Amino acid sequence: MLKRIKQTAMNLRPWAIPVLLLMSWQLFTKWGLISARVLPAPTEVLAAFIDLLKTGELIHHVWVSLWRALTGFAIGGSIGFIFGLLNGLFRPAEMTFDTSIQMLRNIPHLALVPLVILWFGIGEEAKIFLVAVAVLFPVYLNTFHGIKNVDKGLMEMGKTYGLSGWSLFSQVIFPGALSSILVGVRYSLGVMWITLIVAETISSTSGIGYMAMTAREFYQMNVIVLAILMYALLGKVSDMIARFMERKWLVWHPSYQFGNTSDRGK
Amino acid sequence: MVKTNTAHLQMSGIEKRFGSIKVLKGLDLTIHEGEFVAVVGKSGCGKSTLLRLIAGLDKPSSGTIFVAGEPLTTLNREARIVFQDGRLLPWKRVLDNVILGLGKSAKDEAMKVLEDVGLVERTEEWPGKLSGGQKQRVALARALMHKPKILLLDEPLGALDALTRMEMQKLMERLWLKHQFTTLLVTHDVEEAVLLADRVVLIKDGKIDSDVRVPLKRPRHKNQIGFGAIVEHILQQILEKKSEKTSASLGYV
Repeated sequence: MLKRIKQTAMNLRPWAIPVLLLMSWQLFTKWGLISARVLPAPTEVLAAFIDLLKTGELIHHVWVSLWRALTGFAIGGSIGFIFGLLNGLFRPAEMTFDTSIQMLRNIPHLALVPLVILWFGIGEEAKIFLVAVAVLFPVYLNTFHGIKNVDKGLMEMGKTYGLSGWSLFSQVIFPGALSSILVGVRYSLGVMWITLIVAETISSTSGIGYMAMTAREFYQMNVIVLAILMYALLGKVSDMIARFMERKWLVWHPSYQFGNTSDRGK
Repeated sequence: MVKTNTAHLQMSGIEKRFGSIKVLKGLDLTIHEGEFVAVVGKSGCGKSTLLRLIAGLDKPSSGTIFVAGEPLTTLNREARIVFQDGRLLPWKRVLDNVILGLGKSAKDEAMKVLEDVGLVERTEEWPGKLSGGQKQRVALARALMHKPKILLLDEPLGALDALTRMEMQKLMERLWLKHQFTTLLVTHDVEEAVLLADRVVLIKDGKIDSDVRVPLKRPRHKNQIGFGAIVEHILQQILEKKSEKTSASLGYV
């Protein structure tokens, strides 16, 4: 019995500091130690959450942001992935494209914001373009290097055992590059949200960033904090999805061994 | 044992250069069908290079290799190679590694072969969870699935501990007796060579320095009469400073 209580306590320990912080935050704002102009009480953020949920505004904004993020990711990710594959697999392609891509990579994509606003105005294209540019390079780099670093011994072995072309790619090269590709995906999911936050805050008529910026004009501190929390939540969810993919596809990998996944046949 | 006198592999004047370094300098070797030949020599003498040339993984700088009378120009389709590090695909389970290049229909056959190498309970394991000896068993099984006429073994036991080596040596001999493929074993262990091979060839200065027939009865063991003398003879040859060409069959039985 005592052991079980101890175990539960151990499991809850990582949550101790967040809960403590939340509680002191609530108390300090209630006692007036923190001005409501600096930070709203957690209960007020919760109230804003419920209010905006009821009017449907929150869902609308989150949906718009999510759509932008995923569309941009799909476009930029695909381009990065395709070029990564092409340049990793074929030397002439590498000679033609790699240097140019490496040069573009060094432009901070957020520096493009003024230019992008002039090109696309404040429409959807501007945000999607920025997100696409942001995710393109991490996906490209990691795909390219993943393929370049596939064990040459395994490729040679595959060839002697009758693999070539597509079968060599699908059974040896791609699985060999996958852990690196997923690192790129995971990294770019993070960059995707950061880029979208900036893009939405600067120029938007909808989305979470827009919600926060209008709240600023009306001094609705709780809505601003809510918007920040929504971004955090979405970021966390994308990271969980990336981790899920790693667990699913890299079960064989010694660094991704979670529990007894290899006991399928027993 | 059926042994025809057809030359299965024939090499003459084989040279291999890597940049300015000449590894093989006019090597001549003929191997008959079904023969078990061990290739020994100091490290860096070119034994593995020779194996890679026979597999068709590299091309000789000059000279031609004939496989059953045909000059070898691409990958050697009759040969399968087992590498020292096994080279299993870590993302495929044991069974899927064994049927590599063959398709799902080969699964039943693969189970039989895995049983033959003593790994039938671990078919669904990831290679990363196997011991070194088990990995080499999988690599052997994978090679056997292709029913090779020539089996090339590139120091397959080099990384294993003594006990596992002994087990694997027995396994390799049993498989060879059963399947009768022409076998080339590259090893730095002279005892292993004498234990398994019909002929032990020594590479020195990029050439075949000596070619020793091992007339001992199988199954062999290290305390067999004559065993030690042959090992000693080959070791002497390896350590000798001047390379005097000897191509002798020893009289010990």
